[in-house]
Amino acid sequence: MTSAPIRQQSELSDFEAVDARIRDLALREGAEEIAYPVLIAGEVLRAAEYDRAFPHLLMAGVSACKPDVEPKHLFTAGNLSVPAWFLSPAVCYHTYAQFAGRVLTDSCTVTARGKCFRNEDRKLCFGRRQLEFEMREIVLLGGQEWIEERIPSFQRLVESLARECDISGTWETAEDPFFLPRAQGKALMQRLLKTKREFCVNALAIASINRHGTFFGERFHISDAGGTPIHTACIAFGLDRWAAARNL
Amino acid sequence: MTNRDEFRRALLGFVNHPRVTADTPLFETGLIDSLAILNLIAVVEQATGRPVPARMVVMKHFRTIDSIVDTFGKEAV
Repeated sequence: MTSAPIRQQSELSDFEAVDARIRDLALREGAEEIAYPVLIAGEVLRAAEYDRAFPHLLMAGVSACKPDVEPKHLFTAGNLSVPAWFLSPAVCYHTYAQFAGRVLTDSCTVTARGKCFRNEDRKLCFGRRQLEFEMREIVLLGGQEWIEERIPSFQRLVESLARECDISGTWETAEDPFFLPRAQGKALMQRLLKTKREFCVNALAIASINRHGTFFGERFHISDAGGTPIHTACIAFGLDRWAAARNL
Repeated sequence: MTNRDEFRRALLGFVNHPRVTADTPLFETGLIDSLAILNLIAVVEQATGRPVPARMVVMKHFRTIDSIVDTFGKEAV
């Protein structure tokens, strides 16, 4: 049993080819490529309110408080450390942490690929629901107007990439799987403002465009030269799903 | 004074901002955030005596105080 598909030979080449194409397009759009770690600090996720919005999806890196206990008790409830590090649930949280406290004199586009982890309570299905998956994200940081001008070109980018891959999909207004009722307010705001759009193939989202307003700018104290919190947006590509959709 | 007027006044009282009128966009301007939306819905529910179904929480019904009154005002008691 594995938490994600094992890829080799042609499957691996196909998977890498999809990512390479997205990466090329992102770089052509002026993105700077960045590599982030797999683990992310709990304090970053707290600042992003991830633990309020999606506590059910979080997976932590824990160690045994007392390693000298019998192996069968090593990872039992009473012997677990309080985790300082978590498995990244998405790539873009690293970007907000990286830019935390900065004053951006110019808008900025970043692209990064990363392994992501979400606790799935439903039956796993490779290419659809995985505990571990890979995402490439393009993160936009800047003024609202600049972001709104940029998003249509990324939307076209998703569509042209889908055509190249012989994938036929449609854009849908979507909602994140918020933890309810605690995150009911966030879920309602997302629906009201239509801040999430997903590119879906057979009801499976393979890419999404997410507008965050000043949410991350405020929480990570990223501002423009005038001291106003910047806006952010991210375009996320689920690489496992994208690869699977090519074979549908 | 009609129930609709009282309802409108209750909503203006909830937003409690000197520059906000009944036709001020509530969301584009950032007046209502993810915490305030829950309290705003509670004001509507209190005025109508009925729960607001999640499917009704869309921009068409909540863009301004007037939109809220137009949508839910008939039920205001």
